Amino acid sequence: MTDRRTFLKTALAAGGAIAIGPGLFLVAEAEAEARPADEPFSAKQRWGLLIDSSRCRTGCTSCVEACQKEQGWHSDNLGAADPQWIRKVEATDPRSGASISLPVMCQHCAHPPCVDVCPTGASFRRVDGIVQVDRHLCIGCRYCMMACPYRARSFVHEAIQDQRTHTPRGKGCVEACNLCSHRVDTGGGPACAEACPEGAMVFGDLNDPNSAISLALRKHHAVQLRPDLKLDNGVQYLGI
Amino acid sequence: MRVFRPFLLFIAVAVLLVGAGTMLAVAETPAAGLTPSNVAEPMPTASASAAHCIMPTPFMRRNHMKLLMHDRRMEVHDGVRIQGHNLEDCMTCHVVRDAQGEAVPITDSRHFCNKCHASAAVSIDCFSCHRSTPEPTSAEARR
Amino acid sequence: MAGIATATLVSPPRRLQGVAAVLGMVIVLALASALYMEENGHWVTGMTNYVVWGLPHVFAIFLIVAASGALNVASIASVFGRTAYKPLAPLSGLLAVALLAGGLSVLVLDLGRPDRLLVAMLNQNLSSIFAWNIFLYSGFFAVVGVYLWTMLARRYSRFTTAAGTMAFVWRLVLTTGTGSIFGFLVARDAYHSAVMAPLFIAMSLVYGLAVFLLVLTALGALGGPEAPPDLVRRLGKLLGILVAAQLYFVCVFHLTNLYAEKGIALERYLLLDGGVYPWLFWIGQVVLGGVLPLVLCLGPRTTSAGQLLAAALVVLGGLMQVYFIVIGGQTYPLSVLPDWILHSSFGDGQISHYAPSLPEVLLGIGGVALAMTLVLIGCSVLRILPTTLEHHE
Repeated sequence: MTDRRTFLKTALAAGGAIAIGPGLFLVAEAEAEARPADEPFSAKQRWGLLIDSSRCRTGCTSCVEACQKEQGWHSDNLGAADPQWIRKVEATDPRSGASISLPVMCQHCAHPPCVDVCPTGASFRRVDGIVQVDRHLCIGCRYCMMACPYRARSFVHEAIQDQRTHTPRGKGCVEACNLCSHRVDTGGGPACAEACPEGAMVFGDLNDPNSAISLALRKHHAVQLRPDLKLDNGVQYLGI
Repeated sequence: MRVFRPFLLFIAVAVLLVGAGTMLAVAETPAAGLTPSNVAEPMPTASASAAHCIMPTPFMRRNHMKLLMHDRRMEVHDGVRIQGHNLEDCMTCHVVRDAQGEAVPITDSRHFCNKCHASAAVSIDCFSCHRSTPEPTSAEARR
Repeated sequence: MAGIATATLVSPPRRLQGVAAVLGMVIVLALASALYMEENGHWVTGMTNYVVWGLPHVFAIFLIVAASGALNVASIASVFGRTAYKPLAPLSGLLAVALLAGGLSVLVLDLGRPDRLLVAMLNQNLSSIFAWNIFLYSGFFAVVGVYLWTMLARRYSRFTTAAGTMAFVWRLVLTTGTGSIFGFLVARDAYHSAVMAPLFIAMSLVYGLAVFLLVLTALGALGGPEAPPDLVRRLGKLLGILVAAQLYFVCVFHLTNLYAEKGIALERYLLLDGGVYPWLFWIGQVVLGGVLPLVLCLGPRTTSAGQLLAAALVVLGGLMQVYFIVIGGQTYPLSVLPDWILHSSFGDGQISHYAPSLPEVLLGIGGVALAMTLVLIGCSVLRILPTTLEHHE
């Protein structure tokens, strides 16, 4: 049994690395302890993302475009009814005039309000920290969107064709960033982090003290959005 | 008690309706038990080499929906993925291609799932979110 | 109910047919609207990813809140022992059930996936206030159903007080649950407040009693008992007192925000420069739904006609109040970085806009029509109404 598992791990890690390509190799090497596909998620891990807003360029939307391509969402010219899994926010501090740019998506809270309020349990938090919607259970009540402090969720307002195979999406359900769980589950990381031309997004296991993200978090003072709510976010920011 | 006759009647009808509805909902769908004789049996199309699906055809015909229901919970919530047990694999193996070699989507009557579900009048919800065809490879997409 | 002659509603056939035809048409239009919304997706409505709950929710919440308040008259009779109101208690219970059914229907038909209602019944997340409410609403039907039974079946009348008390407690918990849908939203300053629960209870007492007065009067025109002026006047007085209580909670809510620096921008938006929303607050909620009914109900010269007018104004002002709470609160920007000026492609830092679409209006009104239809059916099939309301002082 052990042999089989080891073999699977090696095979999947190798496969993952090849599939992802050289761009993510550094991160992949540090993080990828690929879980065998037939084993459940492990609470030993907590996936997180560290975003350095001081390196994030105003007007650059590489992460947004990468997310659209990977997850298959796009604007249908419906204005405020269009989905947006990740967005670039330009922020100015009115007192100092300082301005920053940062991508905002689901913050993958440890205590997610969307999960608390969801009547059917469609909003759920995987034991490895990823918060996502089980579309089989979602009835489209939108209470999670009322509860989310980050406005991270979108309601699918129109019929959808040509979904990506790994990202089912459909009219009448709520959706949001799932940290590219299909990639994470095969040893990779989210598409946005891979696409960032400045390398401003680091993905990894917050529970592993030697992961790149944990090392960076020990060195720098990261903040969470709306820390007053004490949600213990998986996504954290530098330079705010 | 006289006053109550209409009320009792109303309750009785309501109970009957709810009961009948529940029975219908709980009962096996016709597709599970009978394959109407005038419907061609769906055959795997892509993998001619495979002797049968992940389980023998009679089992799949009867139980594919149970497998899908059970595995979707396991996959989405717990992360247990079993090779061949997800809809993606179903769609890859059972793809139906038209004369031009394009995979036909669920809106087409030739789609594998429609072969039984149309005549059995089973409306399925899978493809309001899931893709009903394999994703075109990059070469196909360019073409 | 001993000694009270009751009967099923026997209306002048023409008039009843007319009313039934109108109600039926409104319901058909509402169903067509719901179908249209589901078929196309919600982009055909005014709702967006910024304002996720729209006019259907305004109507649904108004009806659900009013449902709990419609039980007022029954509670006065069964729980507080005022025998004068006993002949009206069954109508009060029926109206409560009908309003709740109307409100819930609107809520369900607005879901993104109304076909999955069974999913919501079979999978419940016990930490969700919505899930508690599913339990509270179904329970309300059961509890009020039993209560109605004890009132209509004379041999069970000894259980009426117990059932009535149970229904009274249940409706208080139920409206606490409805208010908490908003009150427990930690992220949104426009909602996060413990006052939401008592405010909703006060709203329910007001709306429910007003709707009851109007329905009683309408039934009088359809062959039901004429409501004697002094009874209307007494209920009108009560309505005035409840309106005052409701205004009190509204004051507490806004004053709490105004006292702290962090709440001032929000209150400025809601009460002063937020476009249509300050108008809804001052004209709708305060003047139409508050001050005018107070004067009409508690002023020195009250008439039963004036009090019926007050009831109508309360319903109008109430709809505006719920619109102000539900929509106004959502249009205020929810900031990921409080105190910073934000811009994004997703409307960060901007005030959101909402304009209801026709299907939403029709769906909402359909809920009202459904509730009224259920009242008519109930009164026609069951011996809900007393044959007369005179001489039961």
